[in-house]
Amino acid sequence: MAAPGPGEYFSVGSHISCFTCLGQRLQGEVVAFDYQSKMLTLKCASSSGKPNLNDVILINLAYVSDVDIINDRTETPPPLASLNVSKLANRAQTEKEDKLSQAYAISAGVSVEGQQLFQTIHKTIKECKWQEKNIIVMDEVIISPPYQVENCKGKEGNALSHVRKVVEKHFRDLESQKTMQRSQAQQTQKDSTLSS
Amino acid sequence: MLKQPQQPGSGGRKASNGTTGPAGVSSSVSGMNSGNRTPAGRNRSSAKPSFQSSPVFEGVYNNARMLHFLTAVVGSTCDIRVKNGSMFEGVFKTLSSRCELAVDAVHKRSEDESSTSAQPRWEDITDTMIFSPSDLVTMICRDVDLNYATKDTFTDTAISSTRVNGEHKEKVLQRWEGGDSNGESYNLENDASNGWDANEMFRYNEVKYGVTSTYDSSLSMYTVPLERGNNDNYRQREARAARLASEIESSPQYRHRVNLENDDGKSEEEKYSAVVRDGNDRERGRESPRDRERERGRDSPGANNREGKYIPLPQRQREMNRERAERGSGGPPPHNRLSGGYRSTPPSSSSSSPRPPLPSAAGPQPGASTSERSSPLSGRGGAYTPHHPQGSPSPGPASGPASPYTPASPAGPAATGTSASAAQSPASPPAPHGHTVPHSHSLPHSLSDAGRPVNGVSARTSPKAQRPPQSSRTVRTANTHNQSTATRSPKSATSQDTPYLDTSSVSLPAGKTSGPTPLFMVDVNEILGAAAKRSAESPSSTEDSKSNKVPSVQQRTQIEELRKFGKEFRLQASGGSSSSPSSPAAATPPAVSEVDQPNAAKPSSDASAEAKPLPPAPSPSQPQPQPSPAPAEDPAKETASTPGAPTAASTTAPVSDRQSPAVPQPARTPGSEDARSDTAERTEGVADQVKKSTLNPNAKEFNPIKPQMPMTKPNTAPTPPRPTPNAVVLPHPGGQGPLYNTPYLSYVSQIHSVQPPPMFQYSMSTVSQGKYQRTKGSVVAQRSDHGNSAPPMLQAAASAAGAPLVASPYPQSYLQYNPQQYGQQQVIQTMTPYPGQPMYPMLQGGARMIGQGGGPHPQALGPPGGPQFPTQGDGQQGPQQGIYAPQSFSHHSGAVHQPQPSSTPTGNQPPPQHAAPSPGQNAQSGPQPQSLYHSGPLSAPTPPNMPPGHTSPQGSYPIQGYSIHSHQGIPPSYPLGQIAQAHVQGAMSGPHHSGSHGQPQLLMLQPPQQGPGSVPQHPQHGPQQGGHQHFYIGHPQAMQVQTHPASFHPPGN
Repeated sequence: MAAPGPGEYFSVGSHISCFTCLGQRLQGEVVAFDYQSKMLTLKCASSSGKPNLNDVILINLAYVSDVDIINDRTETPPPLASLNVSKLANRAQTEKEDKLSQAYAISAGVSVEGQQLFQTIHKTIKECKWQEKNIIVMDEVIISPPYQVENCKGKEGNALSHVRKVVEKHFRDLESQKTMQRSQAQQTQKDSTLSS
Repeated sequence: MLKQPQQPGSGGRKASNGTTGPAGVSSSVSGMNSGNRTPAGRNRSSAKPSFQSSPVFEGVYNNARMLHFLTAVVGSTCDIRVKNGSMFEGVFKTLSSRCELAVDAVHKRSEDESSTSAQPRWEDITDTMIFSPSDLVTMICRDVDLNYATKDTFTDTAISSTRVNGEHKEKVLQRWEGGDSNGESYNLENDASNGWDANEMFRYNEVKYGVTSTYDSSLSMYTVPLERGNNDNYRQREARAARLASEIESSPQYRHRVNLENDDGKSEEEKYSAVVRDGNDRERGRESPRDRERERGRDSPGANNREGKYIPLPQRQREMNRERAERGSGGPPPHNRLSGGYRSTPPSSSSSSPRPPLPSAAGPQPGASTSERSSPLSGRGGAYTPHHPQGSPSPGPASGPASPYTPASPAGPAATGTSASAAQSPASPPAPHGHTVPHSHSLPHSLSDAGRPVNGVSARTSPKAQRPPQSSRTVRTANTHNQSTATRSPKSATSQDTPYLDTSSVSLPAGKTSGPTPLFMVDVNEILGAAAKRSAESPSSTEDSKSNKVPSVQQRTQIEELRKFGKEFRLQASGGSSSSPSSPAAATPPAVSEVDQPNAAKPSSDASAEAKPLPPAPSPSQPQPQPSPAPAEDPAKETASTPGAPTAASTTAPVSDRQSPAVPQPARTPGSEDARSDTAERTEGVADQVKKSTLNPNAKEFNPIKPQMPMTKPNTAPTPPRPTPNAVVLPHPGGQGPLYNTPYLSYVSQIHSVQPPPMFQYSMSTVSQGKYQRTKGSVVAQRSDHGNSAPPMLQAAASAAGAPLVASPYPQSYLQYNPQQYGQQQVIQTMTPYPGQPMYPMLQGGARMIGQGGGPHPQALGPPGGPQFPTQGDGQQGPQQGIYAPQSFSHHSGAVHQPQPSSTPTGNQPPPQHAAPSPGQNAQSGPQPQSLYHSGPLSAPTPPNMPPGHTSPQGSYPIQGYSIHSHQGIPPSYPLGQIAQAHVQGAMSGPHHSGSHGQPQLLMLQPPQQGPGSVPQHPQHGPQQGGHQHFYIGHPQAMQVQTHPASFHPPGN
């Protein structure tokens, strides 16, 4: 697993490919390389195909083999933009909380429907959380299983009516999605038949 | 595959699971792992080490690119593979210098799951895990937006801020030289077309590429044409559609959302501008067109820069008001002044905006920076003070207070440096502004304006935020001024806290600017061109700048600061650095200039010129002009300062908090009593100034030394006021130290009393000071100039105030005032001394210091001061005193220990000069600088507390001193003395307070010993000298004080 590799050094901007000791092939543009720690950072096209996003891979060269420099670039890399660290820190905190929140709900045995509803509500109302199996929205509305519109309870008011609308729309969209899928399936069948 | 259990194989976990017990998590984790996994890893605690262990860049932290990209993925979801093959998913949190990765909310993923399909259960999530690089194979962060945290690079702030990953680069902004034609062919207003017409594009493509469009405007390929029917059904539907459309479009919700969607243009800009400081810029911009126009424009850039810094709303509003006022009243007159003083300023202003373009511009900036520095040091209060001073100028009667300004002279040392460097006057004003960026800005403007206004209307000065009040005040009377200052101070006080922070930041920049000092030189040169005096000063400034340059590291910061200063300076220039706020040194010159201005428009210009020249010839000239104007400013400052002293005690707390408060206090003091005394002093000051002019040469000499001080430059600005004190201090070191020390103690106590609240501020200031320190070096150089200038200032003040009060009041007033003022001033001075400490070396080098220090103080001043201090300080200041003392001490110690001493020398030089010329002058100079500083700082803070306060000057001094000290002294102290000081502080502080009082008297006595020759002078100077003595005393105590400083530093740190 040593990291032989043609290069003891990688210049920023060059494209390389390599195999990890776990058999995973990695390829990307070198954006950073630390000789001391033998760490290499690659920037790759997003695995999800989104144009504005990238996958960033930190590679421990100690566990990599067959390092290939696809093309080398000697140009001086562009200057680094300054980062808003607080923004990043906030993101990290938010991501963590979201993940823990979801995990909490899942571990509480919430149904898939409930999880989906939570995700939907969370898109529009950040202030929602799990309390056991209940979804608490804005500390005012409680949605208990099975998470139907009639399960929304709380003080009558804008919040409750709004949440109800969201829940209602959520399930309506779910329905339409299913029908869409069916229709699409049918459509594809038709197409296939036609084409055939 | 290592299955080695423990290791890090998988990575250590931090025990803390969010909710679930760690054990549970670990178990789950272990379970997750094939068993081979590295259970052990879980328990690791390496995470902490990673972060904490690398304060100093090491390991991966040295790799900027690696750090950048790994930082850019913070907060994104990452998949981590460890060498045993297991995979973990979590939120990347951070990495250590050893490339240990800290990941939050980690759960182990089964090998199969390529996607995140399976949601982890709560029990499966580990709150934080740290992966050792030895276990890590890959970390993949998917779908990362690398631009997520990229700061916007298109705001003024972003463009001007050159910090990249902690790296400070100087970015020179270039002035847009597009010529007069603003894109003649580019009339946005007339071009109503919204981009290319579709048909145009089709035609173009057809001609150029031979592509023929199949576009059909009916879009028949995409939709079905609407079939209009005439039947009722259709009409009904049409009507309904129209009704619905109108309903929707008329709903507020719809409008709101449409606005959200379409307002990104202006609204966004407005948002940011509003949040930041565009307001000022805008205002300035407006103003520039109207009145000051080009000059203003330049200034405005500076203002913008300043604006770049956060300006508290209150300040902004004030500035706005001031500006408006200025605009209204000052329009034309300003020009005249501008012609004289402004020219100098313009460069600065231009420089500020153009920073990049010209050194000359830079020069001004540096000056500004220095001033800013000083201001920073002094805190916004300093800036405030400037304003106050301005206001005070009108008070002319207050001229007596002007003498207090002399304290400004202390600033002068520093300020002188600044003032000398860039049209000191402008610069100095800026400096004050610096802290209170807004204030400073306004101050400069106000100063300039004020000066102009004075000529034309006092109101003008006020226009700028602070000015307005001031102007009115100034116009009214010294007393009124004091009040106004007081009132201002409140504002400042309110804002001060924030301002302080800002100032601190500013101060930092100022420190950086020190590097730019050269720019100042350029400005100075310009100024020189304006007046030979200036030329004389300029040399010193140049020297200073050079010296400053020497310290490369500091230079950067200094440069930045200088830039800021430059901006500020511009303002100051316009404002008439005289505003003294800039800091004693700058302030003094400015004050002088202001004073002069008040007298006559020309004077103002002269004043600006004088500010620089002040040291040598300028001072003489200034004195004359100053007499009338100076009185006003000086009075204001002094009044402020003096009030500060008395009030300081009461207000001290506020002041201390505000930092600037100290300044306010000074302002206060000057207000009533000081003003008169100041007048007397001023008379003396004039004579002194003449002498000082001679002194200037010395200052220049010192400048060479200053180079070392670069660090202190920022301090210098502040120090300038202190310089004299410093000078005094230096002497002390030489011999009288002990005696002086006692004074210091007393002063300290006083200061403390005033500053108690300020302590926090101080800490802030101290922090900034660190930065300042760098600048200080340059400042010091300036200081030397300032010292000269300070004398002028003093003289001016004396002349101004002197005429009325001088003859009789002098001694008495001094004595009386001295106690308070001196007490404060002294305190400040002590503080300054610290900053000055650097100067000390200088002083030591020159006998002058000793002479001054010894001469005056001790006897007359010492005793009074001591007692007063106790009274004032003890009650309120008790706690604070300790703090203050620390600062002062820190300065001393810092200065002594550190380079600052060298810088101080410059300051010392001035003092020596003073001493040589005339004791009285020296004393005055000393006090004035201080007063200036104080006034500046005090004005800001104190005003609220001490508005009327007699001691305001003193109060201001303390504050200023603190600020200064903190800036100048602190930085130095940090390295060397701070720690030591810190230790000492505890003990020292106590002693200082209690002992200081007692000691002060002793000190007083001692001073005579030291400065037999000067003694005669000292008597007069008594108060001032007393301060010096204190310094001297301080030395011994200084050690103790230093300890205090340490304490201070801590806060600052």
